[in-house]
Amino acid sequence: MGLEIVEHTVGDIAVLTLKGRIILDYDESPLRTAVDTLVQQGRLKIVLDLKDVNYIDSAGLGILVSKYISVNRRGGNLKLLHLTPRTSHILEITKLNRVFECFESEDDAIRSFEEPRSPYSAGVVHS
Amino acid sequence: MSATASTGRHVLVVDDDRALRHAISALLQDAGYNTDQAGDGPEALDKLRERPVDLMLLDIGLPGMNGLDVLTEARGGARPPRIVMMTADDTPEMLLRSFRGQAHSFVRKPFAPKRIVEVVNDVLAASDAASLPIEVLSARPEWLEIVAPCSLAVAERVQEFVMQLDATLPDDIRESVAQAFRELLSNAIEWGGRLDPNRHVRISCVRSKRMLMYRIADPGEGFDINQLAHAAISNPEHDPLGHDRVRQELGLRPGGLGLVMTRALVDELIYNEKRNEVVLVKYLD
Repeated sequence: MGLEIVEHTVGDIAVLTLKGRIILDYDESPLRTAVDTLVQQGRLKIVLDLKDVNYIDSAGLGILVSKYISVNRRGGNLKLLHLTPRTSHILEITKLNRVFECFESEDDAIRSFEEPRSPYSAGVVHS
Repeated sequence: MSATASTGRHVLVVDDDRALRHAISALLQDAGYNTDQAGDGPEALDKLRERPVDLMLLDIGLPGMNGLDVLTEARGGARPPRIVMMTADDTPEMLLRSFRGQAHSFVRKPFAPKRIVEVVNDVLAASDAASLPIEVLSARPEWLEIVAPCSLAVAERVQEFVMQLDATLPDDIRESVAQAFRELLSNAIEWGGRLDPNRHVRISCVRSKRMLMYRIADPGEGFDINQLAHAAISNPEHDPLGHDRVRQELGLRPGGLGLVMTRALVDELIYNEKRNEVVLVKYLD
């Protein structure tokens, strides 16, 4: 099964709900395309809901990292929501849990964009 | 795959259980597929000769000519379809005989209605490369050894079969081994085999009571562990994104996290001197 992406918006924040696998794919990655489209539209507050992501490989994780960097460079932020235990473990062993802000509720993820940005806030799991 | 993408694809359902055959056909028709049915092996082979079929769902336990014999004949035909084996006999021997017969996938009965549609969608969505032949050198449950073309689509097929052999393991061990195996196999195919299906990787899976061991040998030149600034394994402790900057400078695709992940998921990771062969070990006690 590939990756399906459904977008909804809360204020000026785009929430992308992902379903399926984020894996090495030499065709155009739907996740890369979706985030690039938001960036081109100047929408730089992004939440990725990973509840229905059943597998992420290292290349898929690489896409998350590259999109995180690209959004941050433009003054935005990309945050993660609803990590499965498996995804959480993968972030931990790659130390990317120190990079991404992760949330267990969409409300908390949305509210976090109102808070002053701090480089030290990344890597915290908000429940 | 949407119903639109499935439109025009033809699936032959072969099972001696008439009710199940009809139920599967109805599910696939709802998903947009054209279907046909056969109740035994000779009828299935006749239908394959009559018209092209994109995929055959094939029960192993057919009366008379069993599904494995049908598999062999169908694969030897002029227009072999992709074949998904179905069976309630989920012993490793049955799985391995299906794999050796070049089945594309293997589904255990009983299955949820949604599952069979997903399998058909996935198998038909795979590229043509996924159907390239895999040479099976040893098909013992304790020692599986194969030679496979360097294609990511083939890797997907290999991984699915290999991991079904580990179906009785606890979930955490099975998932860790599956992920580590996939990372190493993808590396071997992408970097060692340069995604060239004319080149091959050799894969051995050895199972003992106390450990799982996978060995993957790729056709590449190997690599120098000291020249991996583009991999997360070289990142300083305080900089988990350092490798990504190097990858961008080198124009490499996003990634570089495979080795870090794999090392954390298994108990031992051992390379040969050239580093074009790797062994991963997971202890079970």
